[in-house]
Amino acid sequence: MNRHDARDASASKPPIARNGTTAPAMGANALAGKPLAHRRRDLPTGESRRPIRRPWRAVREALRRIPLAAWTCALLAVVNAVGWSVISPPFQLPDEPSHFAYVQHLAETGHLPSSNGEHYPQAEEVAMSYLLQTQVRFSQENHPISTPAEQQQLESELDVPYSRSQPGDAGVAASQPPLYYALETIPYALASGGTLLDQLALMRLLSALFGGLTALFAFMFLREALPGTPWVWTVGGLGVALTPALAMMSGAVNPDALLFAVSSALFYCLARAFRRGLTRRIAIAIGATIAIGCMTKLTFLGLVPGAVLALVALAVRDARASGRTAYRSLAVALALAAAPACLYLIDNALSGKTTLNVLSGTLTATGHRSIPGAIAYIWQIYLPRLPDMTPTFHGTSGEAIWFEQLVGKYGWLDTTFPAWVVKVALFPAAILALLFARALVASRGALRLRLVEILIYLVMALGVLAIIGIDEYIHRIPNEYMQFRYVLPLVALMGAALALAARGAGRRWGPVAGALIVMLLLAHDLFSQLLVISRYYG
Amino acid sequence: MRIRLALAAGLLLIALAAARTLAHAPLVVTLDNSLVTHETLVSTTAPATACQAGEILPAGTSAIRLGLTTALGPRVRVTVWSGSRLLTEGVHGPGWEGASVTVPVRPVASRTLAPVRVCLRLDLLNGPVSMLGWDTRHAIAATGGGKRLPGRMHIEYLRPAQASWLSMASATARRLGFGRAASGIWNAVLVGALAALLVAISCWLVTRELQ
Repeated sequence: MNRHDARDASASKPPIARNGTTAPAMGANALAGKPLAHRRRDLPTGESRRPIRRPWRAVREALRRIPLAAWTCALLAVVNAVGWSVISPPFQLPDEPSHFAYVQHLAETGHLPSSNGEHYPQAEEVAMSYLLQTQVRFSQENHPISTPAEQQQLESELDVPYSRSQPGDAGVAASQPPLYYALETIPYALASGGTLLDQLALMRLLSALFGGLTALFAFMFLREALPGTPWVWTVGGLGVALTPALAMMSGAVNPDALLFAVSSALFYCLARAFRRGLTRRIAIAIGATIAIGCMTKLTFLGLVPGAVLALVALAVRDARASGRTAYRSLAVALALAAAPACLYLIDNALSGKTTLNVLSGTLTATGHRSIPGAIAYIWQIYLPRLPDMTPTFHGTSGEAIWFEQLVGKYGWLDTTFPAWVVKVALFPAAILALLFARALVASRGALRLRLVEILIYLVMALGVLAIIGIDEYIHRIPNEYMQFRYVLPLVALMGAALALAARGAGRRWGPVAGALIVMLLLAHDLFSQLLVISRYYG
Repeated sequence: MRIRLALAAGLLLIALAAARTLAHAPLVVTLDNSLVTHETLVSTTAPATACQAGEILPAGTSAIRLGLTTALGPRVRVTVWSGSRLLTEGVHGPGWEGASVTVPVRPVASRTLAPVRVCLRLDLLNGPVSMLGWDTRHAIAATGGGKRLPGRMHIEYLRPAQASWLSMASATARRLGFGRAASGIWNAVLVGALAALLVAISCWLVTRELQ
């Protein structure tokens, strides 16, 4: 911790240290998280009594307070994502053709896609055809183009001015909110002087920047959530930056890249509010983050109930000290958070569309199924089957599928490590789990003090898992939605788990364990890249 | 000092594993029973068996790749017969996904055998499984459930290559440069540089923050 920037010292100091005692690296005090505002009631909880500053200056100061280690983690995440964007052939990442088609249609016509069909504009179809996209997807025996003649043919076709706007299909992306796609129209336009593949490459780089933001916010979340042991922030931050699945998705044209960043930002804002109180500024940040998340991808809705619960809990807690101010902050946050939903309803009412047709369609699809059946099905997606449950899986289990996903499924999830690697991976995974459990036991006193905050993180995690489970149940295609990328909105919590695992090794060996954890994740990332290279170019 | 030792040990292990991986010979396709685009021949949601006669089993085959597609694969058992003699067999556990499954089999003799009959058995199904292949005349089509199927299944035979990954590195790097915005070997150089940067910055940050 001593190497941190001096500007950062106040934030990085554990609360106990402020009183002059030493905070141990592990134990109850290390996790102590009573809000600072509560311990210093003589100080204002809002910003109203602070000198008025220009917003840009406040932003600049806030950025300057971010530790160098956080920026470095962000840089590493960007570097990693750029690497993945280069090794992943065009349109060989999950749903990339659909997401690209969405951006293309939006940029070319100014309108959202009109259909979830999969007839993309001719320019994209021709590019995919000359890239052998459909032959390579899902088929390990097939490889992308690999000769100068094929490359020349591709380049000459890319130069032909085929249609880029019709028919307006965007496949699975069509039902998603437009924020990410609207942002992606910027690199699309910037590269409009080049070919379609130039545009795709530049769009992937924007996603890579979102990958950097994800790591940055994950680090900042750890800084707020685990203030007592600054060195573990680096372990968790690096853990996030080196996660191959995150890098793969951040190297793709896919709204998941922005979703992960916004989700991590939400965890950071909430942790900050739990530690420092629900000030007006944090309330605005939380409300805006929820609004941005809702405009990014529908999966974000899984985090919303937990976030709203957090806002209410924070307002009730802070009201004891600051009275109505806390409830005003709550109202501001909720109003901001609800804005996209209100706009959606108004837009639907004005355009005569069926309101919430996605939901009504879902309810129709599930109408003939029983709730106990749904619970049993979703239970087995995550937990071992109980004796009287009808099996969801045969010959495998939800836990086994998730673990294989964690170890690595890349490309269109058709690129996997050999089975022996999954078995070997059980060993480090078990050690990490044990260290994590040890850290929790050692910090149980502090955990009890922060029970509400921890329960809220659990509710947010359960929200995401429930959305995956419900999707899986509705569509009844086993494994369709059991993809590791769908749980990556929780990547900040995963970073926290890694940080706690490092701390679980104790004060003496903790940093060594942290260094080894980083090495393990680095190895995972590098060998995952080698796997992808061997699959497509070997 | 301990942190530096931990990093050194970690990097050494990564280097050793990389060397071991690159020295390893990849599986390569020695024979592909078709060159056409494959379509769904037949689908099943229940345990099933199928056989395909008139196949050629190349010498040294150690894995057989079958044209089967599903979201969550069943257990697949493959047997290869010459008349009534079992030449080789192998099993792939359930849980795979994609448009093919590669089943490791007991390596076969040093000479190519033909004609042979390749049979497969699917059980522990988790959803519909489709067989990929191409339509053929009735007489040479695969059989399943005592009936002729509409055509023949796509099968590939694999064995370890003569060369290691390392010896194929330059060819692999060249191929990585095709099919992208700015083609060329520089793509592979960039990937290597980014990976080196990843290692260097990670180690620097760990040393700085955890020391």
